[in-house]
Amino acid sequence: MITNIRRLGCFLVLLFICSGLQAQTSANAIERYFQQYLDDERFSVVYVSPRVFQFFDRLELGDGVDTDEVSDELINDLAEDLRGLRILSTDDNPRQFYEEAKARIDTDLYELLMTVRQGKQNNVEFLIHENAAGKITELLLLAGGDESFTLISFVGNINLETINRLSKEIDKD
Amino acid sequence: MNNSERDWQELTRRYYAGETSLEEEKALRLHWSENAPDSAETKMATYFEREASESSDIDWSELSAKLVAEDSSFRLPQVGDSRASGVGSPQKPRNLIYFKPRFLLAYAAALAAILAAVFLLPQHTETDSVASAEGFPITESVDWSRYEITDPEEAKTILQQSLQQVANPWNEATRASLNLKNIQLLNNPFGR
Repeated sequence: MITNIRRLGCFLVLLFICSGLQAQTSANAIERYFQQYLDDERFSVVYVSPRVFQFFDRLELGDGVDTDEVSDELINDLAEDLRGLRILSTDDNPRQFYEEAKARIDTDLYELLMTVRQGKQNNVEFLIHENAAGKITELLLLAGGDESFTLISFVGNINLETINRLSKEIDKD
Repeated sequence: MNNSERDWQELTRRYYAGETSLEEEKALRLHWSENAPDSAETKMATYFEREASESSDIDWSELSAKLVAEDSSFRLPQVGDSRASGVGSPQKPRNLIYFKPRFLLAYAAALAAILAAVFLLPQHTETDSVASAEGFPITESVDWSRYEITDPEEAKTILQQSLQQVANPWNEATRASLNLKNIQLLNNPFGR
């Protein structure tokens, strides 16, 4: 009896360690499926940490893209909930990488939100990852065409309504 | 009370405290049987002696084999086994977990392994911990600081550009789905 309890105890400890390790190794889509490209010179990689997002509300309107006050406020709202922005892009063999990316992404983990075909060759897919509570924790944009392949991963508490409003505001501009 | 009587009383006290040696116990039994044959101590000593002589007639190896056959988890106490010493080491119920030193060492090792797993693996930022609590991916095995944009202005521009990249297909898709909804409404205005 005691031996059995001891065995069970050991098993539970191992299980705890393993589950901990698994939780530690899980990551965003770029890290999950495209880690090998991070050091590939053909790819550009960008990362914005949550620390940097905290400074956004202290900045003036962005210089990079023309935005009005509403857009800027929405961007700041979105940034507050973001825990990371990661971008992976290349101009080299974009179609091949796009197809490869589509095949790599685990559809059990990522749900396809929408697919858009822009023009003849440019395809865009939006995928979302939800946590156990049903909250969207990652929005992944997968874009591939003749000219470039881009993966954009927004990690955080993603509110699709904010994305929708922001998209409309940006469109107005 | 003379000194000798005091010695016997002290020895008796030590006997009940389980501090006497076998020789002292033997002397005590002799003393009780000679000086107080009707005392409780004499009766107790007689009882123990009878029990001891009866138990010496038992074939322990045969009994052990029989018990093992009935219950494979049974083990006869061995010489040096704390369970074999009788008085002073009461048998412990078998279905309890004891925190013996060797088990404590095992527990400590397990705890150390857990702590090592938690603290020695690549560290994540405070905000990533928040993320973990909310159920989305945490620690990265990649050193993202190599690709990190640290200038907030540049980071904001990148976010804006990324959102613009999202906005165009997003709006296109929502417009298309609205159009599709309108067409469906036109074809089936009553929703039949």
